[in-house]
Amino acid sequence: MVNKKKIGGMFLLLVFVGSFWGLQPVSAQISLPREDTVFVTGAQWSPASTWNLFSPSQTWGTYTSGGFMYLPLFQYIAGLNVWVPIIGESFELVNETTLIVHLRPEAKWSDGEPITAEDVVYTFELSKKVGSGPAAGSEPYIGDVKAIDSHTVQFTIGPEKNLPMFLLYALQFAPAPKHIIEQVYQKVGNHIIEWRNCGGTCDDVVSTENGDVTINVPQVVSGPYKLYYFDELRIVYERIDDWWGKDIFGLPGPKYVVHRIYLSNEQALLDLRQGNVDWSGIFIPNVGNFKEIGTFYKGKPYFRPGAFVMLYFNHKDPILQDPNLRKAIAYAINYQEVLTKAFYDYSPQPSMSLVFTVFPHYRMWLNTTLAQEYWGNPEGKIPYDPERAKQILAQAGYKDVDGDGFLETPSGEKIELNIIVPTGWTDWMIAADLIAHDLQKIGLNVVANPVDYGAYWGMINGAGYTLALGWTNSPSFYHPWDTYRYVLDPRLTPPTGNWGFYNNSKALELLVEAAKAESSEELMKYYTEIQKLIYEDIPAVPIAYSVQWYAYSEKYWTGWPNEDNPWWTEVAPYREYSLPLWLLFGLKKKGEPVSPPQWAKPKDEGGILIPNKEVLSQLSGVFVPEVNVTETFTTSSTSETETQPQPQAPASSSRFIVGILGIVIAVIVIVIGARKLSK
Amino acid sequence: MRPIYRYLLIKLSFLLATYFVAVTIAFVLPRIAPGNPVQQIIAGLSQGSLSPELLDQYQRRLIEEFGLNKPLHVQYFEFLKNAFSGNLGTSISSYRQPVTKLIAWHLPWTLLLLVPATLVAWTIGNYLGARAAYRRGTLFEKSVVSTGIILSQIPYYWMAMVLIYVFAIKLGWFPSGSAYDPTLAPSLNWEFIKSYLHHYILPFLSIALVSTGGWIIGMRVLAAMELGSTYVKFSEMLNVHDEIIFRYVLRNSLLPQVTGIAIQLGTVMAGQIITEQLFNYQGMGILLARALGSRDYPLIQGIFLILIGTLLLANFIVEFIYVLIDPRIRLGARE
Repeated sequence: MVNKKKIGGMFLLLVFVGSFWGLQPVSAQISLPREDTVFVTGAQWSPASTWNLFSPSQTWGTYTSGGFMYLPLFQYIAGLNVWVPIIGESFELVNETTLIVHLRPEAKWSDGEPITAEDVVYTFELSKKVGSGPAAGSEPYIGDVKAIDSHTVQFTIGPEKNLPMFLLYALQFAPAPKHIIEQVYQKVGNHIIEWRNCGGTCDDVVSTENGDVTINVPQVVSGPYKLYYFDELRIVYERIDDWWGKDIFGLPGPKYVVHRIYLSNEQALLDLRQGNVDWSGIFIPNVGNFKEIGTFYKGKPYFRPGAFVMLYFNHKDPILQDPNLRKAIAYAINYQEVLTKAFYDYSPQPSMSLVFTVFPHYRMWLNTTLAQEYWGNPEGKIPYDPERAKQILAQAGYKDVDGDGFLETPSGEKIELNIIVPTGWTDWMIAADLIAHDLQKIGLNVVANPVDYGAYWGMINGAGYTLALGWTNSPSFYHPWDTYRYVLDPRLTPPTGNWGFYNNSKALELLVEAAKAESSEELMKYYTEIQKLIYEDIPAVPIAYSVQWYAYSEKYWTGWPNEDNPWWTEVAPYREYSLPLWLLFGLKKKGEPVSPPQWAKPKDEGGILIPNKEVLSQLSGVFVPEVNVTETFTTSSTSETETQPQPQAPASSSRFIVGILGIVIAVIVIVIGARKLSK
Repeated sequence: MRPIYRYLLIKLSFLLATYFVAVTIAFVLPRIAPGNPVQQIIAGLSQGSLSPELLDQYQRRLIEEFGLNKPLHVQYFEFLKNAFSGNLGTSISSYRQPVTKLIAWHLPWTLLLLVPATLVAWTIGNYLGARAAYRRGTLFEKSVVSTGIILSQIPYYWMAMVLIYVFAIKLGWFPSGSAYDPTLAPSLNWEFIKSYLHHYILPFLSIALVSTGGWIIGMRVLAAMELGSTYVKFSEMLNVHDEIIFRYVLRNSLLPQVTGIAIQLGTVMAGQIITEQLFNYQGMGILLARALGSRDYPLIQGIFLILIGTLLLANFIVEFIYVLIDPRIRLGARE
């Protein structure tokens, strides 16, 4: 008995020690002072991957989501409608094909080397060569990039002659340090996209044709933070106290920025409420109930919008190709009820025009007369009118032929629709349910169909759905053109846009023309036509604004942007590029007086921000030569998207066969095994 | 051939066949489900104002890089080759992290939580169960058994939620989640261990309490049966001391419970997923949930291989031990 106890005890000890032993390799002595650290959640849901500007998958903080390690030349801020000149100091559109950008002479890499035009050119060329990085996909929009002198870069427009996309790519371009990247590229060639760039905190091993190559270069960044530590649950960045932008922008408040990785929203919310997390980008239901959580507005709607929540129609489905049906659906939805019951009143009803009307600087692109004419209100909000919906369907010939209580198409086909939403997205699930009920009331057989997030993506991507709740992109400096493109451009495929597989040559023509507009009057003309087309054809229905999830705790930090403190706009930590960073500059430790940074004002008020108006006026002042529209239809992206592997629809049959085969083999083996054993 | 070798040979081939089937299922299942990991990475980025062309390029690069554009049978054979050579590939959602490394990082946390919790529950549960059976009809038996029944019927996650609500949110005695304070990193110093233990108590209790209930109930039934056996009656007649009889009963009814613990460790692993999610505890449960949620094929496959492999191996070892201790099995294998 005694011996057994001893053995048991030793076993336990072994498990403990062994397990700790297993942890040893990743352990390091860190201890972050809580009062110097800002904890973030909601941008990174899986463990850290790479900090490599050229990698298609990056960790929060790098570049594609919430980047602040590699800063762009300029950064557009949608909530304020301004551009921040970061590495770039100024720019001018010389003529219709050329953009000149002047870099700040002060700009330096974290190892002290200056940031030069050479870095920009090198990054651009390498990124194009490896097909990943800040210039990925820029071929139609940027022709070439040239260094005029060490601090002047010249961008030339690409074959598509699309000025907004040209500017978006060129101005928001983030350079990488040539002197470092060159070393890496020499060692591993195009495998550079697999490099982890963690500056010694992880093994930067890249496997190439010639075996594994270890890359030992320091992490050199242009932003004010660099990687300090990471494990499966956290990524920690440390401020660079002698950052080059110190004299221009000052230093951000927190010494450490920690992104905590959660698996569930519930835990993240709990930690936000308890003050263990300071800055959050997670979905929060009924935020008004939690007094300890700060939001942009004190009362309803608490948050500001970030994009649209759309009801997408699958335009490949023959039943949904009838605009009458789509219009009836648009009229039959009780928007107010959906907004209140499903979306917690976080959003007003969006305009069918797809213009972000909640921000005054975008509202100017809405043609109010047209909206009044079509929808009976100048905002272009679709009225809830089930009688009108029924009438439209009746006139178009929809009848209940088989007497099951639901309508059939004019040709007698049964209508069976369902609205797919990701399970677990509770607000969306409720919304889908409410919409389905509204549609049943006008005689359409529609049910809500929650599917898991992976399945949801498969169905959207393979056009394997009828109706879906989905989203759009966030507005860029060229809104609403960008949203029109996201919803209408037949050259795009989900998840990069056009979720409804909408294919209308008129819409494409208008999009292409609008991108070349020479004045805001001309642009407005195209937008009016697009709005007319949307009103008549209903390619998709905007249901609500998807909220920009920005919430904070004031337990340790103050100076968060909100309606009382609007020196800066709200920033959800998951926003792309360096956007999240700028809010950190206004943060102060609790108790310290809050003072907005001097630079965070438009140029004419003594700051450095460039109003978007200035950019647009430069644009409209540029003469754009005529380009044959039909030629642009066959851009490289069209052919490429077709050859692009679509694992869903084509592969599903072979998957099914393999699956069945596997199960059959399994059953046979188990049966044989069981019989053998029982003998 | 001696029967024992014959028996082991059959068992071993059965083990390998099962492993092969399990490996195949682990390959097929995630791929039958719609959706793929790359789409999800891109979808997450598409909400911002990045250009569609850039996202498109990224998507293509990722599909190419992880070989998702290769025909399924090619992927399958590559995977099989790797599975038997110990290379589990690199994760997609945790971009380019070797799957083995991810598992090696997460597994200790689960073991540290699971093994002690299960062993403690097993010891206490069996002792209380046997005591309860021995003291039939007393208040002690009634209270132990009814507590046991209630505890054993509570799902792990519910217990976890109650514990979080009461001890973390209402009373604030313990942290509501994660395995250690987020300002620290795992290392062998007192500050970390203190923080670790503080965070340990609630998840430990949520697993231990519930499974204790199960052991109590099981043990009481076994011990009650044992009490009816002739040796107990004979000992009672001989006026053997109560404590000594109790010890005999406890020992003799323990054997089935030993088998039970192997099974228990397997099933708790499943319950662990939800417990870990609730506590944001970075074990295998969280890793698996994350892998499934993001359709990370290599990671899903890797985790299943490890789980199935250990389960099969544990079973094999138990069966081997049976052969050694129970001649009936050895002889039964003879034709």
